[in-house]
Amino acid sequence: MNIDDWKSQIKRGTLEFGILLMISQEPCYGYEIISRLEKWPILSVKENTVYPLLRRLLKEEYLSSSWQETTEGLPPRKYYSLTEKGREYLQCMKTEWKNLLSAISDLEGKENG
Amino acid sequence: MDKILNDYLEKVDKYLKPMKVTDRMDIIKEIESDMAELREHGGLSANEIIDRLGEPKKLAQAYLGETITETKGMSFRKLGAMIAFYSMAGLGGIIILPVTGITSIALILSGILCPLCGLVKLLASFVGYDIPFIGFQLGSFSASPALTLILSIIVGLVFAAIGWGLWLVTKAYIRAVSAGSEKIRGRK
Repeated sequence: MNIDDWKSQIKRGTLEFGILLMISQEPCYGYEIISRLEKWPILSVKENTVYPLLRRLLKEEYLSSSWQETTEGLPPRKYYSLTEKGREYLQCMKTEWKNLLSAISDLEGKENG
Repeated sequence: MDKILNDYLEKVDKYLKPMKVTDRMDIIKEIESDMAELREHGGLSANEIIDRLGEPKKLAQAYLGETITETKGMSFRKLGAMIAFYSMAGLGGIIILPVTGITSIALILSGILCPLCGLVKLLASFVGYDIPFIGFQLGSFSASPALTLILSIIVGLVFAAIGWGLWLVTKAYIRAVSAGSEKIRGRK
């Protein structure tokens, strides 16, 4: 049984959704995203996954970014926020997610009944 | 900033060479910011930070992988495959195909001609004429017209068999070359 393979495939698809959901609440910076995702092992990721992914979402214009100074004397942080295009994208993802969940729950129902 | 971390960033920057300078600067600045957060809020030491970030090359590759589009990456690989393929097909065009192709045809023709000549010599001997330039000679031994026909049939069969074999090789080579080119074209 190799559940890890399956988990990493699930993660690959849902991570983007999770990150966009998080950014849709409020602008976030990379480290913040990584440390907040650590709460859920299935979604927890490291820098080498999150930053390149954020960069791709920027290139695809689902996200915009701006550098902001910190008050703690740390280097500036790059904040990401959702663009209008990103909002539409996220909306489509939510619909598909609901479709997936209802499909799975239908299938589970058949299995149990 | 620690020397360890600085060196790490320099290496990542080096591996990001294929990207635009502005993109590279932005990436490095963001990793630098992440390092500061990991130290201040994550409580990690410089060594723990670079452990967490992983090999500089791997990290740079992750960026390049997300940035360079799939098709562009393929075209580089495709170019390599094409160069290898056409240089081989080119060599084949110059050496392999002419040698195997022409030799094979020549051998098959000889295979047919040889028994014919033997037949001619035998027929000529029936009317009392010896054709001097057709015949088998081994040292002082010279085959009679009847033996010449038999020998010429045997030699003709051997020639034809070798020629046919070479023809099969030629065909197989052409098929391999065109299969290779289909494979490359198919990947477009």
